[in-house]
Amino acid sequence: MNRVMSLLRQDFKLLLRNALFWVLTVALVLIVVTVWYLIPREQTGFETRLAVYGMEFPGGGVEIVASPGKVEQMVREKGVLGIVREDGALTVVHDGLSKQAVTAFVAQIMPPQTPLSPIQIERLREAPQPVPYNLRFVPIFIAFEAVIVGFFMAAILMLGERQEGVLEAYRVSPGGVVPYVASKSLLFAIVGTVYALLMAFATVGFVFNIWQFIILTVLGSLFYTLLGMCVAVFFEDISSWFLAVVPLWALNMLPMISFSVPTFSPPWIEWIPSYSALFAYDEILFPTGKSLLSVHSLLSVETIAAFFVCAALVKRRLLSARGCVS
Amino acid sequence: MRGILRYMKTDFVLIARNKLTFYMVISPALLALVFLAVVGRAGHGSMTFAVSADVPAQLVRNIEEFGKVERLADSDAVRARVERMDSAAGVVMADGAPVLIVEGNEAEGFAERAGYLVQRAAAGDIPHFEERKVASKGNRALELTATSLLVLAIFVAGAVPGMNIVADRESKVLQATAVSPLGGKGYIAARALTAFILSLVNTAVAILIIGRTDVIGQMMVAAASSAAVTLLMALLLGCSADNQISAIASIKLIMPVGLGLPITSTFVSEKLQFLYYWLPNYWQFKAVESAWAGRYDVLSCFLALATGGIWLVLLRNWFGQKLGLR
Repeated sequence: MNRVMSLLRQDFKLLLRNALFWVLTVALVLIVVTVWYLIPREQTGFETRLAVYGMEFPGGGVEIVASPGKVEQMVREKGVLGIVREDGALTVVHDGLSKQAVTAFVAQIMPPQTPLSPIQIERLREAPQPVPYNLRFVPIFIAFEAVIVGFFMAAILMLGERQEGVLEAYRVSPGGVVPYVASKSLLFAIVGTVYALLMAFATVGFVFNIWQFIILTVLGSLFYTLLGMCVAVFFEDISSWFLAVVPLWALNMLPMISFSVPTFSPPWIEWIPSYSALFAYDEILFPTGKSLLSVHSLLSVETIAAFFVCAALVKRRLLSARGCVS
Repeated sequence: MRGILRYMKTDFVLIARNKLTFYMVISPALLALVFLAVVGRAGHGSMTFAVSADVPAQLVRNIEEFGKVERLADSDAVRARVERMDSAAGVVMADGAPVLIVEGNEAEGFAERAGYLVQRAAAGDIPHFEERKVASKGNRALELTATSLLVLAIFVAGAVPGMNIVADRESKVLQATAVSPLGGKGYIAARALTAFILSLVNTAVAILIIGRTDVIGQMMVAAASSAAVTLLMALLLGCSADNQISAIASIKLIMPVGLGLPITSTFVSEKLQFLYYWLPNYWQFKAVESAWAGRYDVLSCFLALATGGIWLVLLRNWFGQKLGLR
């Protein structure tokens, strides 16, 4: 344990020397200012817009146009949905919606031919309080900024050590692989958790389950730090490493699209670890009564697996005699 | 002039030799391709219905007309499916009638819309219509994503010479340059020229990969008018870091300001847009946004150059001091 603590202290000093503290502080201020002052409390803009010809259409975001050609032009230029009613026939002009989405849409604008039987709706839980639009972005900032700090920084530290030959000295010291991996993981679990907590306190306030938040952030930060190190061991320098992590980083951000459009959730996107973390942060900050046990359990298993894989990779590629020769 | 061109040539040789900078040139275009594909698909999907095995086959077929159907063993499995992170509606049978199950935390109107579609499906009332698919330039979300990624391509054009400035600081080349015949102004001019050419190349590559060659002229003008912004970004990066580790940390800060801040303007009402007028990257964003829509926005292009130029003049002493250039 003493070895872990001493390595942790050493890494922390190294981070401070590279201005990490200031970078995170300024990033935090920018995020808080963005959430509070730049993103509005109510959503504006993105509602579906329709171009309609030949029928009445109540509601906002609708433009009644003078000809079917104009409908098509608007679909081409603005990507809106077009509806043309001529001689009683309805034509939907669109830019690639699924057949089912179009049928569902037409069903909603065309009255039923016979009276419909009532349907019972069972809600699994009470509808939550509406969340202001600006605060909807907080889980995104936490999941894609605070939690992944370790993914980049641990790798940068490790590659810095590799380039400066520190690892060769470490190899002949009595340190060992586990304290090396544990110290970096712990460091960024602490940094990530403090960063995420400050972000949440400054935006959402204190009315959420702080313990659940801490558990999720510690697990998430540990997982991403270990993942970052697993990738970094394969590279000799920061340039080559950067080449590989940018696509991974971009891929990791794709669940943001499912978060914005909750009906868009293809199976492959659910396999990205940030998918469940993102929705879990949303549940913790704006609770609806959903259990997060499965998310925590899955993340724990992934973190434990990542630790063993990382330790094995570090031992084989960095701390073995062969790995240190560059 | 010959000295400036020699420096610029060195920059391009370094770009070709260094994987990091080469990657930075092509990465925005590749990211644009992935993100535009996913964002494009996200808005085109249909609702998901999880149905239990006891739901009559005809009703399931009718529901399939309105959305994707996932067939599950029983009502418990349907409830478990509905509880997952995305928004899906469940359908089970009770006393011979369909019952809709929703989680309760979905977007406003989700349960009512899903319920209505199941009612229509139960009545066998599937609307008939014609549909016509046309290619469109995309909706607002797609437009925003594309604009952001194209601005990223131009931002990268500033980051590459910025990284080279950091490398020159690290290797003390900058000190030698300061006392060489080229001098500080020549050095900055060489970097500015590199940034300018790169921003044109990056934008052209991105536009070609995305496949919007119809707006290549407008986009080239927007990229050219970003000359002052790219140089500003390059100098900010060069001044804020003295080694590669710090440079990556600095990018983490400069990027949200350079890219994120203009994006937030899309959420702000017209009345408050004046708050952004002092930012050159706001005008750059506007120019690129207009270019994507096929317009030449002369005013935004001019203001991007003018405000960028003013910032460069205001910060010239600080840049000179930090870089040790006359």
